[in-house]
Amino acid sequence: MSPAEPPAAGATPVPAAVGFPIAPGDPESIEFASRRLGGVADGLDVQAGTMRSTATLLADFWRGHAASAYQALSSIITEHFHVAGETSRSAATALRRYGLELERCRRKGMAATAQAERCLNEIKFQTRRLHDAQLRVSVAQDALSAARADGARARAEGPFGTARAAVADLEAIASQAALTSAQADEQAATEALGRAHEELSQWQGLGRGAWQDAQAAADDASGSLQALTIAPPPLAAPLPSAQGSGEITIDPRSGTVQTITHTKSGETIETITYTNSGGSVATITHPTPGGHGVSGQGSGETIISPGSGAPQGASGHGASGKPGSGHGTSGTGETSVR
Amino acid sequence: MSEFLVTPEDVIAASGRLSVIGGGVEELCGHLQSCAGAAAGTPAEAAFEGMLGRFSAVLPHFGLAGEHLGLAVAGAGAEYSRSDLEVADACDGGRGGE
Repeated sequence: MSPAEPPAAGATPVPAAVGFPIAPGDPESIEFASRRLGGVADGLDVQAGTMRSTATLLADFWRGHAASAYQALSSIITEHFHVAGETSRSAATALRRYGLELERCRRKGMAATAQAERCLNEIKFQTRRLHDAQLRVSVAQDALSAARADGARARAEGPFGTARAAVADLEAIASQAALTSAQADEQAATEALGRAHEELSQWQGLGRGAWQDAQAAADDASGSLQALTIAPPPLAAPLPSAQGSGEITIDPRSGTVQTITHTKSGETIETITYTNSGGSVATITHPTPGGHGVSGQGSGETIISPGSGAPQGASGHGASGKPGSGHGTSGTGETSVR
Repeated sequence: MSEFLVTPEDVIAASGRLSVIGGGVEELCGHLQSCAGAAAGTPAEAAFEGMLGRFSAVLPHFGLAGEHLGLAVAGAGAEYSRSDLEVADACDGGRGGE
């Protein structure tokens, strides 16, 4: 079976008269889920490894307060990945244990069902045999009684009844033989019926035991699974300068919008800085193909445009096109103010 | 204030390693979803589905944690790089005025 395809839930055969149910459920599906959760655990371990190796790599070329904060958060998140992986593995183990026990119990239950059905068939057969034997006993008893009565009446007739008495005696002998045979059959059928009932009872006990074992395994699995929880890892807060962070609401009526554009290696980069009345600052940096808002491009040239209107690319910040208050900037050399 | 040492390009490059975590976790979420109904009809069904629901609700946060951390690192690298360029440009400009 492909691990990508979950097996269909197996139908549980319901025995008609065996007197016990087969534990419900599809062990293959449970085993599949166990393998999947094991895969999730492995995957989380892989991601934890990526986090860990990245932190190790970064430690070589990033040091300082921010780097320490990153390392600390990375370590916490990595631990969450690790714990989540272990939790998934515990779930996989609990499911695997349950799946195996369910498989065993269902096999046992099915075997017990087959044997119980055999016993039921035997009971049916022996019951018919017993009824048949009892009927033959009754018939033979009647025939014997009739033959004996005939013989008695024939003998009462004296010499004239001698021949009839002899025939009646022969009939009585035959009826006695039939009666003895029928009684033996009756006895054998009674004994066989008793044995079949006893055997049925044993198989029913095994079947019920298998069902109870499966119930107990399900209870164990339920207890384990209910106790398993995964705590979400903390999230890094967006940098105030990150585009679309939403940390600062841009309202040009109560602050200033400053656009700094510089050209480096032929690429024009625009940095839009918003400062509100409370002193909070939002910065967006993005390349501007075509040299938006740039005049006199040249290598290393910086153009500062205070209050230049709506910053392009400031998506999510709700910037209006109203110019800011004209942040003063002194330009020197190649820096100009527009 | 911080005393720091940084190679912005390497920080940005390393952030790329974290950006794959979101996709990886999303795949794991798919694996979890494919398990739904596995314990159908058993007495453990409720506990199993409950566990699956809890895991499925939380697992995307792991992807987000990786993504956010990657973005923070990438943002830091970009900020370092931008500041570096700006200061360098400003200094170049200052010398140009001499």
